[in-house]
Amino acid sequence: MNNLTSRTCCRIALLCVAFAASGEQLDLLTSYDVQLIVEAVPEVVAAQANGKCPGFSITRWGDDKLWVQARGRCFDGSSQSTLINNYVVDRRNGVVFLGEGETPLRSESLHRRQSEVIAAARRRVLSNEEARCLAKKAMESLARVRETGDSFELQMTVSANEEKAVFSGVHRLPSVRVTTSTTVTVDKRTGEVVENATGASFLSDEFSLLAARVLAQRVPVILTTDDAVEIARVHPAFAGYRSLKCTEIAASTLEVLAERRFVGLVGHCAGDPAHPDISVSVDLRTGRVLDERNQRELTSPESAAVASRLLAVLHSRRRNIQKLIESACAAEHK
Amino acid sequence: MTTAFNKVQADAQGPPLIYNPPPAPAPPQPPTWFFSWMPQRPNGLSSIREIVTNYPECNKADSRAIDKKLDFIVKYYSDAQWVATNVRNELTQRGVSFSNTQGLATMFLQWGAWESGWMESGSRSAVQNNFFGAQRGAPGSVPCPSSVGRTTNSCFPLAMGFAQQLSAVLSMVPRTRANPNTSNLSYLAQLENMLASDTGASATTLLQGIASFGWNSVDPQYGTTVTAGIRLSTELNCMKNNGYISK
Repeated sequence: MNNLTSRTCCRIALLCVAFAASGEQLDLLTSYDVQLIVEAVPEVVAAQANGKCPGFSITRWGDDKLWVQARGRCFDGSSQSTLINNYVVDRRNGVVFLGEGETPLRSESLHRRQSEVIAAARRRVLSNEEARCLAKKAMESLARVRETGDSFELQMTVSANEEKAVFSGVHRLPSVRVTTSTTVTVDKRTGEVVENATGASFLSDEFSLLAARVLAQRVPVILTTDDAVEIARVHPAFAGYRSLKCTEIAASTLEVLAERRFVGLVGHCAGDPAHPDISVSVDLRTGRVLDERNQRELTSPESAAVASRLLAVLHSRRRNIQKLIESACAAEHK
Repeated sequence: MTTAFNKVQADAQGPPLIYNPPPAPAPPQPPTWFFSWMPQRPNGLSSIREIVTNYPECNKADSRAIDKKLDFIVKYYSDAQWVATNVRNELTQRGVSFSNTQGLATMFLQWGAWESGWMESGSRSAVQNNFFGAQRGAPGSVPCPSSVGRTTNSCFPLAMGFAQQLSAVLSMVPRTRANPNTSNLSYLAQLENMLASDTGASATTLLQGIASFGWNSVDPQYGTTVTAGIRLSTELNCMKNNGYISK
């Protein structure tokens, strides 16, 4: 394993540990999910259609809700504040309220989007096969004594429900005629595996790496903000920006849409000297560069080439992770 | 007549802004039985967590959302009250008897909470230190750092707090498509005119008046949405009764 891969693995393992420790449920709606829902709120749809360029700023609201502020990014002189509205979204069911209002927002398209997002969130819960695979890896990592020819046998002790699966495992060491058994519970909604006898979570390197990979497959396959800048930077719209004094390309996650990042030119010297008012949005799923106001594609072979390369890396990484998971879990089925 | 608001406006156009900060809020005084108090954990939580509230009497369920509201009240109520008192004084000079400064202060708090999304740490508003959603060029604003990305919002220096920004925003003279405002009235003048014609005007009416005057000319429900979307009365009363803020 080279250094880079090793570092990446460590990072993934650490992420997993943090994830498991936080106990965050896989089927609880994420900021990304919540943005997808708010994007379907009729007045946000209208703001997009009217060229107001909505962007979201998201903060927590209590333990299981998010506060989403939608503000227009394109100032059109019709108002001095560009606020579209504030929405509180329940992460357990996707219901949207106006701030602390008590009446849920309803519309056909919003309902459709809520259903889609919730269905996708439910699919993040571990399958019984994934739970079994994690349980086996956990038991293997618990066994201090290993030898050639030893075996682990797992049985699901009770029928799994949508939250938990309990496995009884037997470890046989035939050469010394030793058999040990243990029982573990997999929380399918968090990926946490607990040894029933101690109540302790498994956190070995090997187990955590597999768990991290399983969880990583649940993350949407989209480009990052840095990727978006890479794609926009070579677009002819930004040609020559380096020769402009006090001007740089900037993108921030302070204001986003679920699958869009806004990339623009900003001044960075005192006095904010005039610079071309250029801003585009980059579609994180396709890498297309769009006009922020009207969402029309700003075609550029240079940007398309960078997008294609970055997306290829992204998809290849995802396929590799899938193969690693399949390889780790395939032994289980033998 | 030179008023605090005119001064903010004049200073913003030329010399540096000079600002007399409102009195700092009184530090919270927990009652003597504070340490014997134990909050109820919210239902449905599977894991334990530390108690988060700093205001146990007003947040018995130990809700993070309620605590965010209580923090906002403690930080900015006296600022809102200071501006409300200035409005009252100016109305008095016009011969209008207006006494509901607490109601007006509450409205200012609701407005700031709505436009800033509770000024939550890490949010766009907090990074830009922008309480009211003012756009580029607002009095007292400074160029935004490039780290916030391209934005049309104003960024304000950290030294410019709630009261100062509220004063600056009220001093602005709107010019929108819906309101060309040929008489050059500021938001403050519009607010005072509304109060002069009806000293009992509701927060909903006043906020709608400010919105329609230019702050949000496109939303005919702005006043209703803000007052329904930011609920403070229960928390404000509790905080006053327990000495966290002045009555």
